[in-house]
Amino acid sequence: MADADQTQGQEQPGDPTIVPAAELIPAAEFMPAQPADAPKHDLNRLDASVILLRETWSSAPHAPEHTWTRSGLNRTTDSSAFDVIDQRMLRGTAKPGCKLDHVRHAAHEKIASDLAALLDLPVPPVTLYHWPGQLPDCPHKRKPGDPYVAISAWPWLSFEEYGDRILNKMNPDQKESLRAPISAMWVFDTWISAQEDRGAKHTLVNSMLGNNPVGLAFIDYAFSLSKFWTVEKSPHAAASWWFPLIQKDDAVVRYIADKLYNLSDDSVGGVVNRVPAQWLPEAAKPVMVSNLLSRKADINRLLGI
Amino acid sequence: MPAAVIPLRAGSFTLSRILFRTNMLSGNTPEIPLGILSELTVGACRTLVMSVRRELTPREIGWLPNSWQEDLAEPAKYWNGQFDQAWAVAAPGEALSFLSEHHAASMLVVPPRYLALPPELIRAEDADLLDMAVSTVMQTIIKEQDAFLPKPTYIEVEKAPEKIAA
Repeated sequence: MADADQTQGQEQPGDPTIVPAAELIPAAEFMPAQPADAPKHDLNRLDASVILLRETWSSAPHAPEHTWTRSGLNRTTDSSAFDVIDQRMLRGTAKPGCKLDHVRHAAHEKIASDLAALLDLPVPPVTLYHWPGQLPDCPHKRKPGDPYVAISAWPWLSFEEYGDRILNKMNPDQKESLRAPISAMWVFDTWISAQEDRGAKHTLVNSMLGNNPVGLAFIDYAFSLSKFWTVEKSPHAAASWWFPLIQKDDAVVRYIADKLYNLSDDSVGGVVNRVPAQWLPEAAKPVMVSNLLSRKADINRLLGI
Repeated sequence: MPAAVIPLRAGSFTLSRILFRTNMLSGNTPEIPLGILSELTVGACRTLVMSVRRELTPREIGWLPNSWQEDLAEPAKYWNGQFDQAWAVAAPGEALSFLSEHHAASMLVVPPRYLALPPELIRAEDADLLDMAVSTVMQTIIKEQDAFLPKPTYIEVEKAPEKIAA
């Protein structure tokens, strides 16, 4: 059955109550070990194990210690993404799911994640991966598979898209806790000209609310960077503010703008220039780096602060 | 002129499962089966059917993050609203894609599988078409339900047009 890989460890026909051995352990016990001395992240509330993973993945284009296999069908989204799993059962999502267009989906996802890591902002880690062998066509877009993908890790054990359902579960302090990461990411999205509507999709919320500050993760950066930057000093203004119920935190905006301004040019350029040409043609890199550096230098004006 | 012209109709037939993934960081962890969805469009007819569990076991509820425990204690209540929205908002043939795009996180509507449209639907008389379409979807749902969903379940059916003019 085509869906069987989406529901692994589930059912046997006629006896849907069979429970694999792994299910006998409460889900909370599957939480990856978190070091006791894990740093406190005011803006970046990704799972501690995911932050550790990002330290590795953001240091290089590839993470050769992972061997990935497809674990789901292509989704019907713009990038035809599909779920993947590695040899140690780490889950992720791969995109693009087929050869789509001239947008450098995989390179943009990787570069955005690595740049966010430089600022310790809540974008899940991304690594580049080359699928070997024959690839299936995307059943929705009816286009051939793309062997050069980006694989994103998920941010927490359990999450959902930002929206009314989860907002209605939050207490006032938790709603207030959304301001800082959203304000910080507005600076980041402005820097790299990210255009996704974050109020409707593309913003993930940790479903384990408890009484803690709410975890937010920002995903889907295909439509950013060279999607809009075809020349140096591209005239893209500040990102839209997608959260009408959330008041911008000016102190956080200034804090991240300063942090961004002080990033070294070499670190920013290095993130782009190390992406192999199969994911990002060499000819596209100078314009991308030039825009990142000029917008970094000009970030206060872009933000209107 | 032939005595009867056999109409040939275009359409689509999709099938998805609904499940909750309790750990998105590791694949070796529980996934809770919640429901089945199927949509069939043929000619002017459209039918959307959902079978969803009426309740979860206490152990399954214990696997859920706190923000989902109330909404999924009775999955049919939550999914009723999602089903109605998909029927109202999505274009015919796109309801499962719509739900899949909106539920791609821990709560997952598996990307739809495309099934072959039964030949008898392509050639059916107009007057029989809607009933045949509903029957086809119900048979598919029940077969899939037996393989995937613990009982009891709640089944919801939408169809349009309500009647085909004779």
